[in-house]
Amino acid sequence: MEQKDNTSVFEQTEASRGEEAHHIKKKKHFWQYSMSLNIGLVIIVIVLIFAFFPQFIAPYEPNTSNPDAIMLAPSAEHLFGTDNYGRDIFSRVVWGTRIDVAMGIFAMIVPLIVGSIIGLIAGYYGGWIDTILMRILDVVMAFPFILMVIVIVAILGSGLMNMFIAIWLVAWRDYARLVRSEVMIAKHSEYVMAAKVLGYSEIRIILGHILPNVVNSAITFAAADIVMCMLTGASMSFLGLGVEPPTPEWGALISTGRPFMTQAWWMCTLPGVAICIAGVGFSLFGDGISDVLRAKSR
Amino acid sequence: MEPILEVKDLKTYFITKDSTAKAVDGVSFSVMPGETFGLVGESGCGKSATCRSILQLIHKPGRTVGGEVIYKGQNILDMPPAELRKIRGSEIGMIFQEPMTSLNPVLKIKEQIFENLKDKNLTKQQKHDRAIELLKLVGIPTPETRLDEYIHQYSGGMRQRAMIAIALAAEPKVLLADEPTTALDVTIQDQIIKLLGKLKTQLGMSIILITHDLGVVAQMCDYVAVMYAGHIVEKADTNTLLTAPRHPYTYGLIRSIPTGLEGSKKLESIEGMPPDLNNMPEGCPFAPRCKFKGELCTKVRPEMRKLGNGHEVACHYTEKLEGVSGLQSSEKKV
Amino acid sequence: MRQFNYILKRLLHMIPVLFCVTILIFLMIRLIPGSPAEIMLGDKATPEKIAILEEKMGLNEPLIVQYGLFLKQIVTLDFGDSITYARPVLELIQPKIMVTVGLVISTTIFVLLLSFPLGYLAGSKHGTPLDSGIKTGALIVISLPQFWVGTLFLLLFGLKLHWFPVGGWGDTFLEHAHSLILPGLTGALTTSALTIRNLRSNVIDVVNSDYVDFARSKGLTEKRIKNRHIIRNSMISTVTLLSLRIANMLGGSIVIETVFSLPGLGKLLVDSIFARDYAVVQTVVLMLALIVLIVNLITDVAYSMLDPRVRLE
Repeated sequence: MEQKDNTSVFEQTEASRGEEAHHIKKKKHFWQYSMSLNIGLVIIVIVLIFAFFPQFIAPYEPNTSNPDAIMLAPSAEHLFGTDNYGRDIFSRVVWGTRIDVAMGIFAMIVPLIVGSIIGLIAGYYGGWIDTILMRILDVVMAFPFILMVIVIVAILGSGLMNMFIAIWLVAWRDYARLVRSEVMIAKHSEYVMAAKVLGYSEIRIILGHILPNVVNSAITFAAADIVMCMLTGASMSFLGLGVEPPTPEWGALISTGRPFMTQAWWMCTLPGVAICIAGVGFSLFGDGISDVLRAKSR
Repeated sequence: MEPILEVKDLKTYFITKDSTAKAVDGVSFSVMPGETFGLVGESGCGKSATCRSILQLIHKPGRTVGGEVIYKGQNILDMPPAELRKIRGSEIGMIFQEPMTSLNPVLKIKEQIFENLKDKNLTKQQKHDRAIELLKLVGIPTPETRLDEYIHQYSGGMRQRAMIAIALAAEPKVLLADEPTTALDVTIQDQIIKLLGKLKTQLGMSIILITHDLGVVAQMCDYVAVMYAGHIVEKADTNTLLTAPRHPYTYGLIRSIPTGLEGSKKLESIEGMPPDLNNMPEGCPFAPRCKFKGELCTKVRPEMRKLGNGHEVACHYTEKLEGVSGLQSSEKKV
Repeated sequence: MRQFNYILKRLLHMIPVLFCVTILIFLMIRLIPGSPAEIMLGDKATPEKIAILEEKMGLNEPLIVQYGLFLKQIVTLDFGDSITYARPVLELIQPKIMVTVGLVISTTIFVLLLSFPLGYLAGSKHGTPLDSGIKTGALIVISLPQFWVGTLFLLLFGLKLHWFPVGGWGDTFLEHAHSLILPGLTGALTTSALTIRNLRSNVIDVVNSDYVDFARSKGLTEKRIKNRHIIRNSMISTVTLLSLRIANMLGGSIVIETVFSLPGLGKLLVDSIFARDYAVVQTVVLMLALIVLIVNLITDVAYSMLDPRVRLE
């Protein structure tokens, strides 16, 4: 953020806006833009390795119970201890990675695309399309995000796929709102006016002139949204409405450990470390993306 | 006569980890009581930074690293914060370029006037009357209703008038006007300039007018300094400067304003760009763009030379411009 | 006067929204599979008995008539009986609304206590290690799952240190307040972190704004500049953010009530979904939506008081 370095400040009025300070036009490599992005990417790569190759990392089978190793405290042998069936928690956490990461990414992508298209159309054409969208948004915004997801899952039944559908059905609203308001600004900008005067087709104006200018904020939001989607998915499983046991999923792992809180503290605490690491990784990535996009748009 | 404000060798640098931008690098000038002093230059030449340095309104990473600003015998730059606050507003006031962003959007105009009234013993009614008087003074119609409005409810020209009224509430002896007309329509620019001229005479204050517009200078200033890349390159009374400039940069600036008398002649423009303030060339900062440059120019930085009659210029070869005229005096009033 | 007109306008705007909210809830509840009659009868269910009960409950009427009945229920505040608890829904819900509203209030207090000082501090000390520390802390907190943080708090402050009750709600006001501290803190973390980031960047913008320079050029004291010019202007967009976050905070209460075993609306909702207790589900959803709409109204009015530009639009 606020890259004060490499700035050449000409005049106070410009310098006073700190973040808009003049930059020397020096070519930068992408890793020079943002420390957050670099750290985030490193964490994400590690998390992705866990997600793709759990079989090489997990020391035990995630679903094999072992009556001789019930609720063992963390040790060198069982890094995160074992659960009430004697399953190795670390192995279950490792195997859970792919589900939680998938929840973050896939739950974000569909609303990003669908919501952006809806926002683009409503914002650009305005009129009754926009009025209807705004009324729908007024209504759906009255429901807390997770409440809507819970009710839709109640309709469809629990399970990973149904949870995806539920999040898709709800999450588009944020993107539609965001993109619509950005389009409204871009629509009245001089470059779009100029394109209209030049007689460009609407498709060309929307895709060539408006979309590139609104896509940045949608992507910035989406990058941060990965974490929110991942946490929503984990929360749903925690409530018992998402991924079903015995599938290893981080939220569900914490949930199943809670009744044993007094005897085996590790069951409900250590799996959370995984969520935190992945969450911080994606958050840093999201922050970094917004830094880079801001720097590029200057 | 003693000058009311004297700036001596002022240096304001913007210092970051890997560069130092010398936005103001050794600027000196003095302003007489009741005088309008113009500070002219293109954007980025350090004229705003000079103006802000006087009241210590520079933001980080900017810092005034040297020089003096003498007001009534005291150096403002050495003052403790409490003393400085007494100077700000009531001795030296300031108006900014863009009234829309320079007035607080969530406070009523009257609240912004009230907080600049320095007499703390005024009653509510007296404050109110004074505010109305001020709005009348700057030519805002129906001041009674306007007092309770917010800046977004004013039109462009009225906004600038409101800002002037707020600054005048403290009855400053010197008014710093940082490009007060740049953000306005041409017709309104003229009104504001005339208003400032009128207020100056009426209230007997000095004005330091920062502008890039030589037309405004011609109309309003008594004395002018031209700034280029953090340095003052030429100082003279307005008439001399416009008709007989002795610095190639001033000459270039004057030749590039349309006067309506060029006929088919092309307007001249100054080739090239101002230097990077982080990376100033040795010698004269204007040398790379100068048509008159000689051997010395790229090696030695020219000092200010006195030519008499208060005309000073920083150029090694100012003789080359002797006899070259800027504007004809008949053309002066553009 | 202008203020009053604005509130009136917002109230009028709320009516159609409220109407559509009831339609949406009605349709969603009808879509949940399984017949309420079948669930009510449980083991004794035979096709004939189900048909009779469905007839009695009005489930065979056209949708529009059923919706009319639903509206009538809302207007008369008679939401039917809960299957699981065999009590009128209203009676069941009343004490639980208090818990959830208490949780939201506790959460809001923590949000205000945490975010305003820290956000202002980070923004005004922009570029210092303190600022980066607060910024990084906020980023980490955003990435933490609330149910996990709540569980940790419960383990540490409840089970280990015995500072707070491990669950439940208590009987007296003081006990209520005591048992809402940990849940409130947990629920406040994400929103606080977002607010801190927002406020921080607002403060940076405002501190560097021309109007603060202009105020300073008037010779005002730094304290006055801070109180009159910086704080209020920095808060404007933060209030919008907070109003958008209220819905999320209420949603979060579903999870937090489960973590801390608080007998609130959220916990009731999850239990009722598992029990397929439709009368309860639809009423709770309605109540939560209503709370969101009311809080949004309040924040909109607060916003219009902070920013005079809003009232004129």
